[in-house]
Amino acid sequence: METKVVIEKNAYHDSVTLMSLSGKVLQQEGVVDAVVSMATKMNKDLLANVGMMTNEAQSASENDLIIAIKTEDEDTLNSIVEYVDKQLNSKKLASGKKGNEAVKTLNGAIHALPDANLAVISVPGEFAAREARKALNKGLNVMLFSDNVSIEDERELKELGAKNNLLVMGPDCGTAMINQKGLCFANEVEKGGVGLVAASGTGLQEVAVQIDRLGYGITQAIGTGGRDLHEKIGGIMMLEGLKLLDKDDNTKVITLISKPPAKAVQDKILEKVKEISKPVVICFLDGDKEVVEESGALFASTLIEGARQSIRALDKSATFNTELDKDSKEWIKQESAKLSDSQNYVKGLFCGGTLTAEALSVLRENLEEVKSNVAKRKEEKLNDSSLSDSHILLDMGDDEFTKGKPHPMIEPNLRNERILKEAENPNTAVLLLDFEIGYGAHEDPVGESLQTLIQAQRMAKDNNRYLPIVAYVCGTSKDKQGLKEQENKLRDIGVFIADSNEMASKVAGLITKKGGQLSE
Amino acid sequence: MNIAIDQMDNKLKQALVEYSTANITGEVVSTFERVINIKLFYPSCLIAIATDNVISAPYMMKTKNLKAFNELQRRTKIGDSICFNEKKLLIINTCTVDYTPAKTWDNSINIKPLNYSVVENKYNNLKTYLSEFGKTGGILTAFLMREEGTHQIIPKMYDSYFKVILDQLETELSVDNLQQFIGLGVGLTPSGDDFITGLLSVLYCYAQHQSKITELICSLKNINFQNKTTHVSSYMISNALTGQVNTPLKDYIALELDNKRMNKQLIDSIISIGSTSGTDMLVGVCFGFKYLIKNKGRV
Repeated sequence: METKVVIEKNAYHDSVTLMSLSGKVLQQEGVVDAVVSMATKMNKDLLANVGMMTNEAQSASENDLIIAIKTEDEDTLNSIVEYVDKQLNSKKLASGKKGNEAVKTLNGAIHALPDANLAVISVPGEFAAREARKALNKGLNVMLFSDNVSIEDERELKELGAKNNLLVMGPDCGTAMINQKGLCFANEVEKGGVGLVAASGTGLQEVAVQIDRLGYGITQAIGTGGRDLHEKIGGIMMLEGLKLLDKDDNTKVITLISKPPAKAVQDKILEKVKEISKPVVICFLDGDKEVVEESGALFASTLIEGARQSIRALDKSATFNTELDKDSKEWIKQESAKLSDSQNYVKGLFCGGTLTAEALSVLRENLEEVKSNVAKRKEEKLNDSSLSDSHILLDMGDDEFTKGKPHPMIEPNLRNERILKEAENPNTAVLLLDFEIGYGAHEDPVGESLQTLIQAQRMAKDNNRYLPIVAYVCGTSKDKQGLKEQENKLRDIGVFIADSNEMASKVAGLITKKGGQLSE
Repeated sequence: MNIAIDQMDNKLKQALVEYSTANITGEVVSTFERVINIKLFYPSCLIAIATDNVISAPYMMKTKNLKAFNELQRRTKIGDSICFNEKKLLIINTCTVDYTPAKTWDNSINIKPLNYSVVENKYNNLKTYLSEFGKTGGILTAFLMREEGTHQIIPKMYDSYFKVILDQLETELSVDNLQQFIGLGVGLTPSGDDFITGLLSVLYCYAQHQSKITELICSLKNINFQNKTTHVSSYMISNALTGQVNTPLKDYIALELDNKRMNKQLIDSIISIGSTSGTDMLVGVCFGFKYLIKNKGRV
């Protein structure tokens, strides 16, 4: 074991920085223990108790920062010290950077970029509507990342936007791709002929990503915010998006993505679809195929089907292989055979809400008693998310988990803890996971969970069980984290990598059925 | 450059108005994105200049003028001296901070008669809320390990130690046992200090009729915390000993109405403080409520 204590004299980093650094260091491979704390007497005593005290640390004062690291070997120690230094200094450099200072107000931003026509607003909810109104009044389209905006404010903003032919994407809009620029959580997607409008963040990402992976591309991906199809909003922005994409010459096919809207809103949207001159694909998860098709639109019940339908509408010659290949079938068979009698349930732990809903759509047809915190049907609703005595599909990005904590797409610790809990549970047959890459996502989401997954497999093994893991990495080959690199890290520890969230869900279902078939 | 202060702590305003400010000097001890902390040598206290969206705390002044604040923050370095001019305005470098027209708020905890049914309700609700929404990383895990018998799959270094000293404190609420928390834990205000702040707030509000508690508070006032913890923390504890704490904590402690929405709003505001600071304060509050319930009827 190697120990080093780094002291930063009179360091004033805010608590969030210190806690985040502490967590990140502990997660690095080869780190046995780490403490990032102020050099108070009690903290130094504790350091001495765990054998991490040095002379330098002993002489540090209450207002100095101690970073104590214990690693398995010297090389790891040196790289971790370098990592810590980089983390602390990059923050200082970023805040002290000259000539490129961030502006602090909307007016400052407009002054700095007078030609801008879109404002991304991410401020506490109580101020968000005011800032969005200001931006709209200055002729800017708005992407409102903030949540906690009242439904009344949302309606007023969207009406103001529609009146001035401006988009109001949000509130609580996490994804958009405008002119090939990703906003908030988004992917590097090839340019092409499909225009997307979605009231669902990861739903929009998944359809765009699948279109890219199948060799096609998109014009725009417009997010509306999850509440746009609520009766009180009336789908104002989905209708505006539809109108805009209809006028856009580069858009050849328009695809709408959402969970099923309120009936009155759906009727309004389908009426509008009838007036659209281009093919329209409607991907309403759990939606009514017949009603949708009556409007002349093509229906898709899953996100990947939404991508395929969009491509079919664009290119009649396109064909898709939807079957599992021989190797995958063999893998499923082998994994199923290793399960013990107690292992009967799928445990889906998701970062993406719509991906959770899609998994529910896929699995409910084939497994009994699938429960989820995103379920709309009463009998499927998981009222207590701590329970795990059936098949469960959890959206870990839901407010109940993220209140006061970062979203698992940014900070995977929240989900990692749950992964270990499910690994401990003897009824867990398979872990089903999603990883999102691209703009806004963690710089190495798989890397942040890898040790946890290895630990989970080990925990199962120690209890004479085997734990299969099925994962899907939502992203394209052009995303900055590297799709292949992310997938390979998982493959290296025996995780099955699916090509889509739908496929991952099916594979998890098949493993759990222990040789049974899924219905198509 | 001038900065107008819009709101400030009434105790601070009163002190600046009453004292002969010509004698007051101090220096900047820390600067953050939204707060600049200044240590005054006489009277000895830590004052803060903050932006409007920071949670109001004792000896703080706040401005709505973000542009001016950002400029002041950019120009200010740790160790810069401060003084007051002949008009009693605060001078930092070339910036003048005008607090004279500022409205004031009050951070003083009101001493309340002890209503056990209110305290029992608040204790149960707070404990449930903390186990669901509290932020881990500070003292919460150790607290829940004791209260609910939960265990950690990945134990952190501080958890087991906090658990031990929480056990000792529950056995005996003494100066020595309280001192074990001072300066312990992660963060700029270590978790132990935040816990003590929450606990002292409860004792200050509800238990001043108990001679044991008044003696305890008196003894703690004689301790110099400056060499035991960080600047910010030592002043936070000293302030709590005189019944001065941040506004949502003060309001939450004293709230007697069984108004779930108002309770939740205040708890959410406290939890949003720092990384785990707010949660750690609330753990202290919860511990304090439990102490009051356990000692029901004692004087």
